[in-house]
Amino acid sequence: MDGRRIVKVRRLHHRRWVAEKLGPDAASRELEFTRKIFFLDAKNYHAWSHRQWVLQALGGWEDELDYCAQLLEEDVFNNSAWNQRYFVITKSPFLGGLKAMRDSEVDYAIEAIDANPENESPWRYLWLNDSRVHSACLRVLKAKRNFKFALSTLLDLLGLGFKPNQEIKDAITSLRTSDSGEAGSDSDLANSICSILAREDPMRANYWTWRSSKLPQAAEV
Amino acid sequence: MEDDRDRGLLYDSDPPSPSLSPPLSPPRPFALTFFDRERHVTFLEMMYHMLPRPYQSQEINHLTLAYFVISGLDILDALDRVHKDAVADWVLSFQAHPRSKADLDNGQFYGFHGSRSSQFPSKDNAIFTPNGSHLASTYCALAILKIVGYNLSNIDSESMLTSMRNLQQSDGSFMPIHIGAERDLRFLYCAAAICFMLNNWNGMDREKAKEYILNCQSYDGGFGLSPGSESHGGAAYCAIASLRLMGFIGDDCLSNASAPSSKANIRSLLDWSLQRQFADGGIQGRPNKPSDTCYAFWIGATMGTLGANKFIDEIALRSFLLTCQSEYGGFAKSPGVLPDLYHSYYGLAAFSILGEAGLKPLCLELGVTEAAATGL
Repeated sequence: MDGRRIVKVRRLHHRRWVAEKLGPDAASRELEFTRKIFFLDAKNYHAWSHRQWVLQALGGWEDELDYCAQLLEEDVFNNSAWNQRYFVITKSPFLGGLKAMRDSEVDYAIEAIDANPENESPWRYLWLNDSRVHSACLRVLKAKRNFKFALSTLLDLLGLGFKPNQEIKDAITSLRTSDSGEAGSDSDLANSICSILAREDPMRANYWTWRSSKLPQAAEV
Repeated sequence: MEDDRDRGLLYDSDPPSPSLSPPLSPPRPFALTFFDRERHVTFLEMMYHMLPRPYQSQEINHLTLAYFVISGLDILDALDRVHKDAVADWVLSFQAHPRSKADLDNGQFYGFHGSRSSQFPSKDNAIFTPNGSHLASTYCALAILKIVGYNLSNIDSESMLTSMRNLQQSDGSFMPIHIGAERDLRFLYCAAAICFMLNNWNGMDREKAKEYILNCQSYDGGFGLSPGSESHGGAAYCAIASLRLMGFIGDDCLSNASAPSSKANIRSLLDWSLQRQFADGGIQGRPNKPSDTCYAFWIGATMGTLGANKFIDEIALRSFLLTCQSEYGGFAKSPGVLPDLYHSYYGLAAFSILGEAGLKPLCLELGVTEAAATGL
């Protein structure tokens, strides 16, 4: 497929106008229309907006989570599909909302993280306050590869008052290059994370240094 | 015929890359190690004098293309190449005027058309829309007028702003035209910028607009173009620039970034936005997508507005942008591709943000130079 636009936005508006007149019967046709676009360009922004509009205005939610799963099977890096998953979880009248779906979604995201820890999408998809998240971070740290999101997630968790266990502390310590002893308090740990990130993610070194300066001075008890 | 009049503001996928003269062979690899101002001035000057044939099908977007050319020349400090009065007259000729005060109640928006074909549609049109005023065209029109030094108090802003309220929806979003279209953050941004330039907020309900913006913040910290949409670099710009223009965020935004009373979750937006800088130094619009020149502006300007552009690796970004610099002048979306006017403009704007010598500084939230914004 060359770089030409395959979605004429004005046609989408016209489709919307027509679909609104036709009502819910138009739902499956419109969903099929966007599916055809995604076959060629699975991240087409306007088509995803249109699909979300169709679901909310006309319905057709029943198969949407499965469709997201299918797209992610084809390309687990497809951020549009992750976003659509979140959209379905929170808005579908058939799924019971965030609370009901949280457990299975955390599992789903962690599976994706374990397979590709360098994939930003599932990391952003996670709900942080869950012990499975801590374990996932630990696994990634121990593997000593592609761990920058694991570290930044732990940093965010520390900011939320998370108390890491000794295993996590040790894993972080083992990633440090300087030999200034074990990480003691939580603020030392957070500082360690920031300096490791400044080293591992040098493009954002200034940011990690700034994050370090923004940490609470005293660790909470 | 290309028919997306909204395209000028935000591209999602590739716009057609025109050849300035049809290339007989694929472009040779070209890499200058410096920003070549002269080449870009020449490129824009040529665009100013004639629209190359591949763009002519975009006649519907004429004002937007003109904005790229004129604002681009302004950034390059080459506005002397432009006949300012002639440009002002030309822009003003696109304005839609109500026939009477009663017209202002008919639900239409009296702003600027984007082109002659929208202003004078063919009689074959099934739907005769004599007033095709569009928010994006209106933004571009006013921006151009400011750039060429036209005194905006000469404009009938009352009609424009009164009728613009017709475009705001109950959820705070804006439609771009009165006959119905999608509604999203791009047009809310245009509305905010229009009110800002006219120094008159009667055109919109700012509180409702703010609500809509906040509803566009996604679970990952970024902003989508509408609530539930995927986080996108262009949407981040529209969100933050609008909040800034409307007066909801100030200079101290970053120091309050972790404060729970932040109107938007600036901390998570910051983290999301900075992660957009890719290994090649360029900036992507969404996670797991390739770098693209224009996001150096959309994300760069967002960071600049928040006071966070020191967190971007400017050296790496500059290197990437130089690989997108074209031997014809202008910039392409990515290395090895032909340049287009949209990416050329945002490439120039990005170099201004990077502090390139000889370029004029930008008023980031307005999308024109500081000089144009303040009227100096």
